[in-house]
Amino acid sequence: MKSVIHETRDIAKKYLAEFGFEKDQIDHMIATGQRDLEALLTTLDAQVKSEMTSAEDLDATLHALKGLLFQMGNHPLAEQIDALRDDQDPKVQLRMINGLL
Amino acid sequence: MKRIAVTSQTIDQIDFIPTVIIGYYHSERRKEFAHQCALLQERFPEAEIFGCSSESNLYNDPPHLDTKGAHPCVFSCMDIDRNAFSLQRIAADDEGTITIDSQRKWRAILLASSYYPGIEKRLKKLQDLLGHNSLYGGIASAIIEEEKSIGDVYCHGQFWNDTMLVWLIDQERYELRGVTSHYFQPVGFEMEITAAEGATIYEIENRPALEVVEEIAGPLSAESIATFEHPFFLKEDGAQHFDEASLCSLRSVNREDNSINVFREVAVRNTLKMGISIDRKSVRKQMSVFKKYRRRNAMAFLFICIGIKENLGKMEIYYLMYLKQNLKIPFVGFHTYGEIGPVNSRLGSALHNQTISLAVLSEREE
Amino acid sequence: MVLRTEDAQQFVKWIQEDFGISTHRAKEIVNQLQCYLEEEETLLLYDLTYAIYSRSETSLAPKIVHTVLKFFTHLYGQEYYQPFRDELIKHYTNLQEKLFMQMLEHARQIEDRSDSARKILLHTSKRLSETLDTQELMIANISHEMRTVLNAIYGYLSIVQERGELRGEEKSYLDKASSATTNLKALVSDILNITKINSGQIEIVNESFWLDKMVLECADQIAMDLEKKSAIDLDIEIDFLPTKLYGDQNHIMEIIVNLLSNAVKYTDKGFVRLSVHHTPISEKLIEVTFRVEDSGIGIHPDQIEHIFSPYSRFKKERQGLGLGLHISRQLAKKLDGKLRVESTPGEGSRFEFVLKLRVDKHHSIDLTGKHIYFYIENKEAKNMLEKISFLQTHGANVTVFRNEARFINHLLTPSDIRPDFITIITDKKGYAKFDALIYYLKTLATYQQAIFIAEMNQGDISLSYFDRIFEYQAPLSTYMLTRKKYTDQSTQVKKRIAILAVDDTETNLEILRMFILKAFPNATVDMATGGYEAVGMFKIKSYDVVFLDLKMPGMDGFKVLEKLKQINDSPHIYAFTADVYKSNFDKVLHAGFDGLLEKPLQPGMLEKMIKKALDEKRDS
Repeated sequence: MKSVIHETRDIAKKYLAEFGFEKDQIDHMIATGQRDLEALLTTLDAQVKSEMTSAEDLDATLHALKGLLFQMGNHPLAEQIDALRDDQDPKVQLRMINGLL
Repeated sequence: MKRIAVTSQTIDQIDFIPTVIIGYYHSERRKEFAHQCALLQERFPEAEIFGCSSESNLYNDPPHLDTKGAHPCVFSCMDIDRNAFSLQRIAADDEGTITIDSQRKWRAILLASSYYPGIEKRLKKLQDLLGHNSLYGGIASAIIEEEKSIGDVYCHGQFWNDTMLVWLIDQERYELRGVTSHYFQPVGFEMEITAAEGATIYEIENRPALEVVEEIAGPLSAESIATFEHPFFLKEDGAQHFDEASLCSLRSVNREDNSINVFREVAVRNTLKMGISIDRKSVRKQMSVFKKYRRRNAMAFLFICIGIKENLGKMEIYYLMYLKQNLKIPFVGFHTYGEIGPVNSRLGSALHNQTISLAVLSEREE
Repeated sequence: MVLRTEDAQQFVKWIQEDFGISTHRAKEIVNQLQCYLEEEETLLLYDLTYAIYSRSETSLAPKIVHTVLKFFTHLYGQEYYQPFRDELIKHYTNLQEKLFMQMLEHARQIEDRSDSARKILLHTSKRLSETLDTQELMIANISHEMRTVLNAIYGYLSIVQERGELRGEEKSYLDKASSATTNLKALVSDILNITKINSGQIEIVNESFWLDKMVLECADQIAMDLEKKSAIDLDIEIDFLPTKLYGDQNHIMEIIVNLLSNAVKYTDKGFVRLSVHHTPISEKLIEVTFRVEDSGIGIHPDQIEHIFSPYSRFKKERQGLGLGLHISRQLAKKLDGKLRVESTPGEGSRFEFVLKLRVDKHHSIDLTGKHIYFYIENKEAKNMLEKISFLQTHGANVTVFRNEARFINHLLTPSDIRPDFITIITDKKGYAKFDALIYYLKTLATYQQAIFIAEMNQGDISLSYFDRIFEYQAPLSTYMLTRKKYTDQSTQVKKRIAILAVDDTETNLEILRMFILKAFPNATVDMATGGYEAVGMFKIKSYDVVFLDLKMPGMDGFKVLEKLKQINDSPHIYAFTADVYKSNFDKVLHAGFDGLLEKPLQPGMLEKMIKKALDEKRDS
């Protein structure tokens, strides 16, 4: 989980800087982004571990995660997650999510 | 009312003509008991003599417990007005119930040969007939050998299996009162039984019952099952709090289907909590309830759970000494596989495990 | 072996002395001892162990053992018992051994029972803590939902309030409902904070910040509370060393604001003082003490120890649930700081929040070449001279005016000097006058780059053309700003555009806002984190453009769109989603969206969308 957060943070820094935002703005943004990202990953972790999670709930989290990653500029991972959502085999899904976490 | 408690050794000390003699005997000493009953019947032809088998007996004088087989047969003898009692026998497969003179108010001592299916329903029926808190007694055995219960009852000169004796006492002339007391408290979370049949619990909270219990109490060794170490509080539909739940012991576990078997009939939606023993001070406080039953010229009947014997080991003697010192009434009794009595007067007499059940019979004081 | 009468009497005496029991009972025990010595069936052992067992006195067992020893030693020493010595030893050892065994057995039983009880209790406590965790999570989730709903309720109430149609009793009900909603919102956000702290979710975000600026912002935040209490003066004392520090500014502010607002809450007249001092610890580290003092009701010594526990509101009639100090203490701990309190009932309280912070080493102050004008009119501006002198020592070119006519004259006289900052400290009327003047000055080339600052403006007048307005002093860091250069100031400046962004992830909203403001600095961007909230906001204010996330918990984007359209059909509403498929696109257009903004954001697309709305607005 840490590595995803760090990776995304580093990408976001560059990504937002490319658009010419000021450092203060970017720093603030990254702080919020990191918090939201961690919250989403924690939810995902809990959902994966729980037997009560429905496919819809899991998909909603993956959806939110994808959107956030896109916004923060981590497009490769966002796309990976998007692909994951299409995967019908829950085992594959779980394996990949575990890899993420 | 004249009364005396005797053993095989002191049987000659009966110094009055009893009308009722109740005896308890080790299962393997049936012959000896039958012989002694025959002698007693000869001596006191008018007396009603009955009793039931037991694993071990309880007695008034030291040694109070016959752990080493000191008292294979014990008797309580009383001279009760012949018109004030009646003895009736109900077999397990009997559809009928007892017959009583409904003009009079009765209470009864029950001696059941064994824990057989449907016994709780029968108890309920009897209580409906006789009234709230009207039943006291014990179940002789739960051990089954070659598909046959080894417990029996004795009456009319014969031994009977799968039978319950109901000794009814007229409450106009005599007073039969008692209490059932236990030394555990419910702890942990309330768990719902989600699959069960008869006395077998298959699932608790939708998980295999044995798995749930072992998760809480740790692995159940054969010894801990044999010594009834982990009783449950079983709350049935009517009970509001766990204070009103009755205790029930674990009888066996089945590791193949992960079920557990208990000494009570259970139903889906009953809830459970585990029981742990209360501390010594609380035990003393709890035992002080017996003091209330002190009567002049009374006879006490004691039904103590086999679980208490196994669980408390040598401490049980001190419970009995406490009882003796505070009650000052002669008593006999035996170790039971189920005690009948009221733990909570609101809920009336019911079947319990892990309790000391006391019933005191005395003449009504004018 | 038979006891002599005198020995039996002696024993009765000893037993009475040692155990304080009746003569009758002591005699009974001695009789039992006699039976024991005669090897008859006896209750002696039962009685002794029963006594040990049933009387929960730990000293009883050794006392009994000691008394037994005393008996036998006595008998052993008597000439009379000489022939029975072997027998005595046998009886003695026998009795002691049995007593000992009984005690061991007892101990073992207790241990067995407590062992199984322990197992059950351990499991129970584990389950309990799991349950509590789940409940906490549940509370957090519910609170989160509640916050959204409350925002909506608050929004609706505001509409009714703004309409001003209610009178008399009904109006007072509305005000009560509104104030109750505000309190509930505060409570919900407190609960969210506590759950976050307890579950370790509070993240320490260290950043560089100006200490003085932060302190003044804290003071700004309680301005509203202070307005209601005119009999209180707020004093701010701060060492005017413009220190740029590195730490979790937001959480530090949260603590200070909480302390300040408590001080205001519990003070009816007198003062509330915030003072900030720092002591250098090393070159890189300083210790900062934030002290909040008041002349309020104070705290009774009995209550002071509970003041930081949750729900400890010590004066019931004051508002709030008392979670604030608990949160502050927890936060302070998280920041490795200390929060302490001293108080005298009836005189006031003093809270001190002390923590160590790193000095931002990258920072150096250079104001060389900056031109700063100060206009200070008849106001006792505390620390102002120190401030000016500081600015000067760091290279700034400061001109101070004290005469209004002369100052205005100077401003209007053409000059080569293009001032960077113009600070005005005046009264209500003065500010209004200067505000109008600034409108004009901004059209002059000389002041294109100038930042107009209003200091010590107590917030009772709204100023439109000042660039920065401070209720107290402007922090020194203000003078290190450079004027932002806006690239496209043509049409957008004149036509303000109102945008509503809706997304359940805050980061997405923030990023969207950043992009919008970058292209359209004059736009106002409101953000809603849920459908209900969005609908509530939409009812209160009219928007030109709405960006709507499609997938949100509760009401999704399509439902929100439906509601918005019912309220006002004119704004441009764009779907904002990461799911861009053909099917989705069609669905979005079919539902009535004006278009689809993709995540990741395409700034070009975003600009086009807003521009389109802007053009339409201008045309209309």
